[in-house]
Amino acid sequence: MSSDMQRIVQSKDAERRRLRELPWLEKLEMLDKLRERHLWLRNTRAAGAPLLNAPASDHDKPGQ
Amino acid sequence: MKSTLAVVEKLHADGIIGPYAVGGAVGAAFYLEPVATLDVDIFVLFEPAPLILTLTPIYEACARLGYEAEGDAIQIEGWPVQFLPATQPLVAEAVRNAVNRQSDGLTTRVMSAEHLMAIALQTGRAKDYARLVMFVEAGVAGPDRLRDILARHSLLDAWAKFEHRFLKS
Repeated sequence: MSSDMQRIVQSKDAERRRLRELPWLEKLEMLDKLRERHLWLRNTRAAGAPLLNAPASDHDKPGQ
Repeated sequence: MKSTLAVVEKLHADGIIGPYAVGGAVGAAFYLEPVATLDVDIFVLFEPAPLILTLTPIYEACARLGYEAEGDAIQIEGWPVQFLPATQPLVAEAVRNAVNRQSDGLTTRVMSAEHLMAIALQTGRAKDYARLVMFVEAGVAGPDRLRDILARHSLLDAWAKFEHRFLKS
């Protein structure tokens, strides 16, 4: 693993640790917000659109 | 979520539900970083076990409080709550050994980290394994207590497979 990647992983681990150690009442409030965001994302995504059969974007085209 | 759990505790205090425990992703959030979930799983012990197990009294009590059923859940203070009978031995034990949490005037009961892990292992869906990995990484479970639960519920082989598949890298 490159040192850049190592730094990213360490920073993510530190953030996860911070979240884990929050008081449980704060975590309950976070669950409210996470649920709202999850529902919003679900509603904005095309209902039932297959994940892998979507039309290729420019990025997916050969040579891009 | 706070109001939701307060209503569940009130149902218990009023004798509508027996001993209960929060499980699933919401239960896990008491030990881990919170992860998005759409509903709340409340496992309920029915003691003494009735001849015919029915959730109707819970649904009726909730309806009297203004909380209506929607599919297999009851909408309580903005969250769909599933009341699940704790009939399976591991789940029943998890409810009996649940931990009381009290803070800021809110009381609730949550399954122990070790029981949440054992239930996730037994359930065995992709999201359960993902949660198990989070528990292992967090190091919040007592190894002896976990081993004891896994052994008593014949889950040591499943644990060995889980370790081999997800932790040996």
